[in-house]
Amino acid sequence: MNFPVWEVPIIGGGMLIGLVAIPHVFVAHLAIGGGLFLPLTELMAYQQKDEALLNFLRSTTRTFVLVVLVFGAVTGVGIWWTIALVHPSATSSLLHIFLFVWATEWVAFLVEIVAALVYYYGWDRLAPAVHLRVGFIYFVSAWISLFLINGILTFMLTPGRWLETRSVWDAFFNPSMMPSLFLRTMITLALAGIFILITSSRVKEEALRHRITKWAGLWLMIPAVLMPPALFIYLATLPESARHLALGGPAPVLLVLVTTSIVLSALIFGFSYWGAYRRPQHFSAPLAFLVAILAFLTTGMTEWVREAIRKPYVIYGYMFSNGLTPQQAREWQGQSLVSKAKFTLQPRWTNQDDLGKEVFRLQCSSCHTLSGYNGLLPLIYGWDKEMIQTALDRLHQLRGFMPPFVGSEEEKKALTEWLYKEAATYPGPPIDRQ
Amino acid sequence: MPVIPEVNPIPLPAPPFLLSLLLHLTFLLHLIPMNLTVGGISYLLYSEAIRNNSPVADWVRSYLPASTALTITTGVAPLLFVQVLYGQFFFPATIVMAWSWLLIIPALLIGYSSLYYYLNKRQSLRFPWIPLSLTLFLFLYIAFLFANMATLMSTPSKWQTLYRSDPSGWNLNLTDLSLVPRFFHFFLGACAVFGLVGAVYGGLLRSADPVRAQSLLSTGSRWFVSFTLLNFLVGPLFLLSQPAPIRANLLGAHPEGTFLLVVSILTAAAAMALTLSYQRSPSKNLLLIAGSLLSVTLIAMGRIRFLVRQWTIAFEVPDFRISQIPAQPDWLLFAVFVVVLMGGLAIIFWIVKNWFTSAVREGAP
Repeated sequence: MNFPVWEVPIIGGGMLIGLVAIPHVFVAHLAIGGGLFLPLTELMAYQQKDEALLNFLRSTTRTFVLVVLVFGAVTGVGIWWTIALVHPSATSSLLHIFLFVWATEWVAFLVEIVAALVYYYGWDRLAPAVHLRVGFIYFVSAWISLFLINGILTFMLTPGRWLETRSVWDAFFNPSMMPSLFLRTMITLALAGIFILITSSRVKEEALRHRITKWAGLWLMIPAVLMPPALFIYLATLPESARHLALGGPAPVLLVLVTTSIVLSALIFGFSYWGAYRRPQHFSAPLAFLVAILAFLTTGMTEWVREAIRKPYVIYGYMFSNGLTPQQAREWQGQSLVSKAKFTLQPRWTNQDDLGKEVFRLQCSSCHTLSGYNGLLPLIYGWDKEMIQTALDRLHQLRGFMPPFVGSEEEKKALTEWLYKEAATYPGPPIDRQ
Repeated sequence: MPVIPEVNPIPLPAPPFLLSLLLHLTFLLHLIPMNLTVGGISYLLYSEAIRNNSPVADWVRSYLPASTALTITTGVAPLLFVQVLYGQFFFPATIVMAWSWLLIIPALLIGYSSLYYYLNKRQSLRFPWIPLSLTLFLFLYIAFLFANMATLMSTPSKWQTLYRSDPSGWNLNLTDLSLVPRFFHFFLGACAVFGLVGAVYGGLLRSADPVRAQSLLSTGSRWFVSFTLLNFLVGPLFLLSQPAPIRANLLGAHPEGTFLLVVSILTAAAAMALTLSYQRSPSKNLLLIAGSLLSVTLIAMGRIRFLVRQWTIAFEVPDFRISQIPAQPDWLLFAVFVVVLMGGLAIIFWIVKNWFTSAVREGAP
């Protein structure tokens, strides 16, 4: 209630964050794994005096660095932009807690960018030993970025002892931090393998293409073996209610997404083992792209689930998705919400519909649109006023992933009336309202 | 008094003065690649328009990938410190202009891609100025939005009105008198800084590569002097566009503000005079002194920018003091940051040193 609410029509703020974040996460993980693949393979090529392999790496670096520098860096900034607009209170809190973690990550980012540029432009300029070292510096700084950002990201779901101690060290080294870091590191290796499967498919010389394809396939085998047990450990560190949500609680769609992403992961590893690793001669560009698409979908679904199981919180146990804290929700129970909001559409409320709409904007619109993504109208279509009112009375008890309604009785009534009227205009199937 | 959000209850992890210092330092660091990028692209566009492929254009093309990447990277840190020190002002202002502000991201993505397209395909393009114009236009859009954000975050009295007129966030701060002069002051400044850096680089190259050096020297000096002169016209307009109390502060009422303004004008003028006198008696020391003087101008201007923001905010919200934001320092974490920063800078130094001490290998493609 501290900041203005940004109205994002049709897709809502949550979906907007997802649209920016998922492509970034995909490329950012690739940026790390690829950063290990390139110098490691370069080292092998030097040891084996393999000029053809070096030429392949030289041309691959160009695509890699362009993707990382342009798309990776800009969309990374884009996530920051988007969360600050959609969740200013949470962003501000994260900045206050993790300012120097972020500042340290910025140093790693700076080194990463300088190393990436010099690695790319230095192929024909630097001595091989120096060039290799720059490549490994790139990888280490990129992985340190992951290490730091992963701590902040996992904190949002498992803040652990921070809730009592308020220590940034407890916040950073939170319960799911290490398993998540391990999982994400494995994902970086898998995505590096997939990236190389795509770039190697352009190689004309068959023997070289088969060799690189097989080597890239091997990069997917390590995560295939190590990720399943790590996933179980990760799930064990989650709060009970979050795990319940992920594994088929009150939102079955999440279980569908979890299952689909496991199936897709199995397909990716299957294609990679039986295709790229065992039969590299049959592994073609379309298959490489198919694997990449599957990996992108898997990334999208898993990141989506990770965000969804945090509900009703944006910072678990500390702040609800709508920016209210549990403490505010307790203390403000029964009091007027709009009078506590700093930014509203009107200075005073004479029309009850306008009041209802304002309560919706302030309290619901960070997750819900009216009839677009996660729209409320399809959810309450056909309900009578009593049902809406009862749902608002027991919001946090009914589904387990909703925060409690905060506001005065007048505001609850205004919201109920407004939603009821809006739902009547929703073009759903005919319903006998008697 | 206008409504502003309450300060975040989680204390800052370091004293505000330290964060303010880091904000100053990182902002100055950001200015270097930003000026080289914006000024350089402007020069390239001019050079493509008159179809003159000078050594200066080659030089600009050689550094643009690095300077653009570093503009983005070095821009992150000051914004981080702005968000914690001025979060109560920054977040509402950007939400009020949310869509225009968010469009910075696609603008950057398209502008950056278009720049790489130009750099990689220039030889085969019939109209290379097209992708370059697109890049410059989009990068200037970003600069314009930053000017909007900076002016709007300092004037909270406008937020509620703008927000109520369009809560979906398509607002801009177009009624602010200082918006346009501010934008042009920064843009012209970027072209001027680019010119002087080029001239100084030319001065350093004089014995190693006289032809290239001459081109850099003459073009760089011309750009620096012309754009600084233009800024001597826009600067006073920028000053006049400020509210009366702020103008008064800079013209005598506030000793530090007045001193800094005088210093920045004098150092810029002296840098210009030295650059002009180089034409008659070429000595690279003259250019190095001019460069140092311009650095002083930038440092003084950076500090003035900070003071003006403080005054403008205090004009509307007299109770706000950065120094009063609650802080609970975590010195261990700060020490980790400092150690990593030192280590990172040492690694960057090592990488850059190796780059400059290596020559392009014989027979390389």
